Amino acid sequence: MVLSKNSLPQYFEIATPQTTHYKKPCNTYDVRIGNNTSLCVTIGESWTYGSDISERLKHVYGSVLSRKLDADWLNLGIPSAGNLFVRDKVSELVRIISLMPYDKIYVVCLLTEAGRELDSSRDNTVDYHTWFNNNINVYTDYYKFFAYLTDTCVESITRELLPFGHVQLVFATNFVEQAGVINQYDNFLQDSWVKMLCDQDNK
Amino acid sequence: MEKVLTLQGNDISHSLYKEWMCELLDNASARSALMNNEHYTNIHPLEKEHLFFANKLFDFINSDYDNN
Repeated sequence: MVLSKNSLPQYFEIATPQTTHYKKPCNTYDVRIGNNTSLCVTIGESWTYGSDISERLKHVYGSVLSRKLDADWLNLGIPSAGNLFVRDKVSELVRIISLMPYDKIYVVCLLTEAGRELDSSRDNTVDYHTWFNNNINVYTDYYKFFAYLTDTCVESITRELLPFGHVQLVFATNFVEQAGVINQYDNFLQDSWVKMLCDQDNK
Repeated sequence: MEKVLTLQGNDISHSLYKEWMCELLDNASARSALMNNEHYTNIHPLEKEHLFFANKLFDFINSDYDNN
């Protein structure tokens, strides 16, 4: 298989009016293929896409990280996307992962706030009604809902990639402190990107 | 840190406030206008923030965490 900017829509659903704020279908994905034996896949929202960065494909974090890893790079980012988008891109990646000629694949999932794609085409088969009936008794239980949204997303991604021994999966968050299963996963960067920046500033 | 507001007892910095606003706006032109603000750019060039995060990820990937 050949990964290129033009071929990516064959494997990964691009931004469409049905799933995003884009008024026309738009391929926001990037790929950089060299002679590397490893691939770095970055998946997320505008911070992963690299909104507003000068020389975006040079400076966005996925580009920098893949160069440091001596890896080819696949960037699956759509501005305004949410965690369910990340989950869906992992599902699409899994369909072709065995066809990819890499010894090692790094998958970096940058999550954002829970609920960004609530009541959208990405969760229209989820039975929230039963969950609410079973879990909401007092008003503070609503906090559980956001943890539940993150949990199901992280668990799905982890489960899908688990069979692939050459995949190294890493989770991180942009500006939110995640609730839910974060403490149960060693591969979850504990502090958000923004918190790490603030900590750096305060030194 | 240049405080611009206090939220639930926490001082919120100018740069963090702008990040939040950008995410809330989620609008390319509004975000660009904010990001191109000289004050912001002098403190946090976006490219520097991405380099910072890439380095954090690289260190984490190469750390001894349990990948299973």
